[in-house]
Amino acid sequence: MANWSEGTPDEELVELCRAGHLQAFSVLVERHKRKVFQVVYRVLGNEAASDDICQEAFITAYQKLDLFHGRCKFSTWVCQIALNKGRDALRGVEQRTVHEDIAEVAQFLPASPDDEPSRRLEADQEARLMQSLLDRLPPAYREVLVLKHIEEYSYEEMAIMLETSVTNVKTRTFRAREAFRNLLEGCHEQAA
Amino acid sequence: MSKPRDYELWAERIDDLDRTQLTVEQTNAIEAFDRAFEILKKTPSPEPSADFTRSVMARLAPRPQPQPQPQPSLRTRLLRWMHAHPFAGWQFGGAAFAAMIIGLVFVPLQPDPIGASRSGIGSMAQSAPAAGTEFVLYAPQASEVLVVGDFNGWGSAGAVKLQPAANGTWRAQIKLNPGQYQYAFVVNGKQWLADPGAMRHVDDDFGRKNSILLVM
Repeated sequence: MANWSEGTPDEELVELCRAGHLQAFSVLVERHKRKVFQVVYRVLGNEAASDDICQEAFITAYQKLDLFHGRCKFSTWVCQIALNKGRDALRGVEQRTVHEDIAEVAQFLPASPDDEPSRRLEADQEARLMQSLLDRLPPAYREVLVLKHIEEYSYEEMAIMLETSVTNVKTRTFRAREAFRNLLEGCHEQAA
Repeated sequence: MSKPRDYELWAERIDDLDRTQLTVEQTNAIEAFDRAFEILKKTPSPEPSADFTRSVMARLAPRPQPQPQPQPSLRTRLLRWMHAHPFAGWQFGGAAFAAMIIGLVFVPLQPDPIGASRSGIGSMAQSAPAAGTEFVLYAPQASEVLVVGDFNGWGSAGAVKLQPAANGTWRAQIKLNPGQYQYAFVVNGKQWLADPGAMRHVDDDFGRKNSILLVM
């Protein structure tokens, strides 16, 4: 009888799953669901859709477990699957242009850092503003900024998740930073 | 040291720039960027749904386990081969004659029970038709050992379970009619293992090895 616990390493749990111990997979799901969900939610910005996509990603991971060769972390591999599914979900959805509605969100910005009334700005409003700026980027840019600057993955891990080379990831990250910076500056100009 | 250009500022070097070298505008831009992502990082994202794990698990079906493939009998495979090579019959006839001669010479050779590997997993199928042929496998870590072969339809007619015996060995006796058989062990329901103590092995059609047993 195979035994496992919450402390059993991912690699052993994967082997147990391969050997037919279905319940070992629940430990993997429980362990990594939050991380995978966070990545997908930051990219998609929709809680229900992110939940569905992450569930689908774990199910696909289980079905394709034979394709996981341990060259990356299990969570990285599931993130890769989830991001692919997220991309599919976004495909066909009309992308908003980068600067639309910028004035609408700019009203939340303080006129200047020293403006005392602006100090009362709710933290969540500020966060919503930043998230809305991020949401205005094309998904390919949003992905790399989320992975690099929020979830703090290495370029190597990002390359695995995005199924591309490290060089491509760096180039895309550079462009995404520029795009975000332009949005940010445009936002400040609107607020000034 | 020259001040970094904007291109360099937003390229990879943003991660390890010497910020004392930046212009005021560049510093402001970098700080605004960093602040934006500090805010985003601190923003709590929602949690996965409460029944996330249960929902996933409810939709999983047990993974199909690799089953030992029933292997056609030697006669069937021979007929298939002859069908595929209609003009090679005479060659086969010659080969069969040669095999018969070789068989006559080498049939007295029996597996040496002492020669069985006793380190790791090792085994020996001993031919003793009166009491049955004994299959022995040394596998102290195993939880289950089966023997499958063309004598039991490669498991389709019921695989024989070996019983745990002393010193990490597993044993089973099967009554077999005189003849030549191919067989293998299946350890823990998934590991296909040719008998390391057998005198001869052959490649099966699935990239594995089978052991050869001669019962006289």
